[in-house]
Amino acid sequence: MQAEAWADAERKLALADPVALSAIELIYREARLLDDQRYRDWDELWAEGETRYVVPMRREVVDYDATLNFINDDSPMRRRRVDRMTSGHAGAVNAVGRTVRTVSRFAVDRIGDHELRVTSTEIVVAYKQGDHQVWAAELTHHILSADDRPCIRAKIVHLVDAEHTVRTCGFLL
Amino acid sequence: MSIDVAGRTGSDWGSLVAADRVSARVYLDPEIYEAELERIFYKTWNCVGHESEFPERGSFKTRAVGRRPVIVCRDRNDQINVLLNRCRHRGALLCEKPDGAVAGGFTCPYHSWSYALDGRLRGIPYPDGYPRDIDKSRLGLRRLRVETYAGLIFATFDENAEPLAGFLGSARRWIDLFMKQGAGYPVKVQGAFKFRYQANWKIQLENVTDGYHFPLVHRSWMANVDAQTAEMLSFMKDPEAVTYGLENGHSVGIFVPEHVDLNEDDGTEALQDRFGDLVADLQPGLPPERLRRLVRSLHGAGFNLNVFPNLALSMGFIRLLNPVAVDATDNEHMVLGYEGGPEGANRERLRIHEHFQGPFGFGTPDDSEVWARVQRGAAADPDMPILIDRGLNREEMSDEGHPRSHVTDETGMREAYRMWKRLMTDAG
Ligand code: FES
Ligand SMILES: [Fe+2]
Repeated sequence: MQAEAWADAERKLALADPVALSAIELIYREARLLDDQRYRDWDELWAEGETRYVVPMRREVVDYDATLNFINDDSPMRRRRVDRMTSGHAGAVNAVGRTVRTVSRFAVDRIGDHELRVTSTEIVVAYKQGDHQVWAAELTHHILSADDRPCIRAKIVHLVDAEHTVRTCGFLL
Repeated sequence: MSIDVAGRTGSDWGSLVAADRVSARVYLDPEIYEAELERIFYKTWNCVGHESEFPERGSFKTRAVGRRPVIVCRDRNDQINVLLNRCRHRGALLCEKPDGAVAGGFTCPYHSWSYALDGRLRGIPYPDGYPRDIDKSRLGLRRLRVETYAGLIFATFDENAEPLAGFLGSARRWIDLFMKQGAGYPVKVQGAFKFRYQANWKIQLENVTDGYHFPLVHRSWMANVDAQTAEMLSFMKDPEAVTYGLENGHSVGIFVPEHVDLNEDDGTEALQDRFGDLVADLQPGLPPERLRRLVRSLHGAGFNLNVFPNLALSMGFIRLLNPVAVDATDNEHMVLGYEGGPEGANRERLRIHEHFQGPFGFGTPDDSEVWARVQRGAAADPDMPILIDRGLNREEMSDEGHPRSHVTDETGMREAYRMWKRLMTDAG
């Protein structure tokens, strides 16, 4: 028990660690691109090869493919999502007013030689047609930090109200 | 045809609906919404789920009929109960979890009155404050009348409502056809999206058989799917894509004529390439006809059935609507699968559902957006009518006596408003 806790502590990176900082910087950049609806640029932040972008409906789910999710995108599906969001023909996307989001409460773990797991919170305020909506989620990013350019291998968005009734959404979390 | 759109004196709501138009007030007036709850949602049969959502004794889900919260659960005798989610003592909401399983029943969080899964009051703590002979049998949870058809659970607050079978009428035949998408397996609910949109409930009801909007509102989805799926849903000029007004407000719109009866297969339809991997996986284990039958059912039935007032059976999913305010409606989109069927086939269905439906789907958000636009736009002039006359120039009567027109026409909406008018004007 104690040994395990010790091992965990070893894997945890201080936020001032340059490796941790570059991952956090990436997540801030991502937040900015999503608020600006620059979805093609956002797509560039992702790793080559196998990736996963998930907004699950239950926190305890680990096998996303075996269950229904709000979003369960592999790389090709994410690109199709970007195609839709940038097509100019998606009414919900066109109607999005503005969003501003805050990402915070970072914790960074090293989970592989070149892979970090970053957990954080995300609060999005979305304004449209006289109406402010709040979206709140806990994020888990898996960041590859092999070369000098860190990139996203996976992103899981746990909405606080995932099991309840949510609004339909024309932007990304 | 004239319509007294200014007529809002008393409760003369019938004057707001004519055969070819309705007053925009039916979307906008909070008083009409309140009357709809009383006269429609608390009088007719509402669908509250599917039996497969309650696999074991003690399985429950909390839902609502109109604005009233209910618990749907399976009891120890395997009966499905629909109970008003409200303690008989001083009114606390009994259960706030969206779903789950309980061993014995529900205990109130306030003074711990406890109720069995069939609503019976089982226990009152510190009973000395009540007469020794207190009649617990009169203090059970309020139970709604429940009947099922083809696994669909319906409930009503009205003890005098006509039997479900009669209410469904010829919609039963379409429900039977819809369930054939199980391809030999029992149909099961695999999961559900729950979302709210900012518009009156009838705007979505209308949309269920609205083929007219599909290639326009769903352009980004059509451009996003494979060519074969887009072709399957290219019905705008297909003369076989028709819609029927049934009775009691029900209607059906056929979008994929070759998938109306999934048991019928002339062998000419090519299986979609997108399912190639699944076919390769299943080929060794399944006889070719069974495989074909299964793969042809992956998109669900080839039609949308509207069951007035709150149920739609839409291709591969069940949709429940619930009016929470005059301008807000909750929706559930429950994706279907094959009970005991191949895992790969169930996963294909999950992915199809995620692609179009739900709060982050490639289709649903665009639908919700235009419905909210109707709500806001209609308010520009409540007395200006909403037109539901599309297709009257080409509507015919079918042999069974149902109006039939092209699926891009508004035949289904006319049927729904006929029923609306009947319920909103009948005494009681
Ligand atoms: S309100 Fe439920 S036990 Fe008192
Ligand atoms: Fe639609």
